[in-house]
Amino acid sequence: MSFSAAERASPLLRASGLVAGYGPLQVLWDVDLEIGNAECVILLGPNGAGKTTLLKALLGLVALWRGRIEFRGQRLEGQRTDQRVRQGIAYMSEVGVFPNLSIEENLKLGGYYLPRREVQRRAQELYVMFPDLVQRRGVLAGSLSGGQRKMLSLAKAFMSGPRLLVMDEPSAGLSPRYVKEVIATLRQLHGAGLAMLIAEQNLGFLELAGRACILEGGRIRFAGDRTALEQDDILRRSYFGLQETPDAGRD
Amino acid sequence: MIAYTLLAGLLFGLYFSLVALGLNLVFGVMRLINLAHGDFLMLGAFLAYGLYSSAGVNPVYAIPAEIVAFVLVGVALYYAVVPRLLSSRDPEMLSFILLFGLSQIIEALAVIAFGNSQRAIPATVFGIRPVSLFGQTFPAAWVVSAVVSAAAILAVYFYLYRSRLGHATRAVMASRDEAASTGINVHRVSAIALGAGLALAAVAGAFSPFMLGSIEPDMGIGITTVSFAVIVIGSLGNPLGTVLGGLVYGLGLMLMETYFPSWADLLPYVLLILILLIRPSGLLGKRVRLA
Ligand SMILES: Nc1ncnc2c1ncn2[C@@H]1O[C@H](COP(=O)(O)OP(=O)(O)OP(=O)(O)O)[C@@H](O)[C@H]1O
Ligand SMILES: [Mg+2]
Repeated sequence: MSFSAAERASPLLRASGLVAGYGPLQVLWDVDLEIGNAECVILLGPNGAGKTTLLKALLGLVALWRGRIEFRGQRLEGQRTDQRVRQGIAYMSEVGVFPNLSIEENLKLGGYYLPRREVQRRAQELYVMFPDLVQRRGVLAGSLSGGQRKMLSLAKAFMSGPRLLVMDEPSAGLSPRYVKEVIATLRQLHGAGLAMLIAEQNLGFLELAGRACILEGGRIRFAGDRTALEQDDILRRSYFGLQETPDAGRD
Repeated sequence: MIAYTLLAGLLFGLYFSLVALGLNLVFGVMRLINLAHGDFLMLGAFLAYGLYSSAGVNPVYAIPAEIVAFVLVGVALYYAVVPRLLSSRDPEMLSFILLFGLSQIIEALAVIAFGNSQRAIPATVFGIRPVSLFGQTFPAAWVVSAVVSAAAILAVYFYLYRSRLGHATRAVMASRDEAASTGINVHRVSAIALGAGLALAAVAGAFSPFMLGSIEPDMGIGITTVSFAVIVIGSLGNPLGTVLGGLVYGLGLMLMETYFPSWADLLPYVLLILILLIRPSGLLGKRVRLA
């Protein structure tokens, strides 16, 4: 992947002062987030912290109350979700596939807005990368196992050739073996220059990340290098499960 | 006698599939029952009648005009109403009120425009010779209506399962958010589906004089009821499941009219109650709820 001078100078995505919620319930409180080109950022946080809400706000699936989002120098706030996706953001939700469509149909929809020939070409490439999917291309995605489904949703998200891959808990519901496989695949994609934002609770994904953000109660509690996170004692206790005393890390 | 009844049931079954198909397509994509469905069918019937009485146009040749006119109406209706509706606080309730109101308004305007008298297109437009099928003879109008219905069902199949737009449409049926975050313009896809749904109703309307009786401004509500019964019997939200519901309904209707003619009008309600008691998810069941 090659970057123009302007792209190298400014971050790929810059969100600032994000405020969002559902009805009267405010979930995000002034959240800032930056992702550089080809950078992988992991978003940690306990259940209900607002990770999913933050990702959805970036994609436009949850309406923003306030704040601004820039992606490759373009403002995103006024755009529909599909327009944001077309700018180069792929989103892998926790569901991630259309259960009523076949594997092949799912994959091709991933490149819905690309020229037909391009879709064909990329589908062939992805079948090489995800050999499991080839033999079962006619099968409904709803009949796949959790792990296969995750692989399909990854392939589908990658189909459009995105600049940034946004993922909501890619490890959810997967056995440790599959989690390893997902991480390995992500490392491969990241190595090819794809930037990532991963909301996770599984710390195995930390090894992919250059930077980590911790969201708590809808506020960013920590943002910095992974190594800084690993060295911070309090954070370490609450997020790495290395508890010296039973109640450590509670507050 | 029984062979005749069954074959007639099949012809009518195909036609009732067409009558209800648009309602199910719209339900699948937008998760709302278009209470004005039957009124759009009525408008399609008046369009065909108008073309016939003013220019002698055979209803078969009126089909392209029906499609163009009602796709445009559907797309315009979608963009005028739905995006605003979805951003309201209680879209389900509001859409229910809105569609009920729309149904009333269409009916009232149709009374003003066309009066309360009944209209018909003579079945002789298809010739006076009956058609024989498997040794039984049927009015040509029935057979033409059934053939047109079968062609429309096939067209819907190709649209949903063999085209890129159709794949996107089925994706929207599964989840609007998931579809949008795949890069699909959900509004565009839904607007086209609503257009297609209304066009299907209108095409069914063009043949209603031969299959449902005379054309009247107040025919809509009854047709909406029958269509609802048909899609609940088949499978709510799965357009092709409509065909199963339509065939069951058509056969049921012909059997009733042959053996219990005075009870035939109750059929949609009886079938609805039966299916809700026995298999509330429709004959095709939950597994194929999504197209
Ligand atoms: N559709 C919704 N309507 C109303 N409130 C919601 C909705 N979705 C989430 N919430 C609330 O918003 C808060 C944040 O939820 P969110 O799903 O963003 O958390 P999360 O960090 O993704 O949690 P998890 O780790 O469990 O996925 C929670 O309090 C939740 O109850
Ligand atoms: Mg979540």
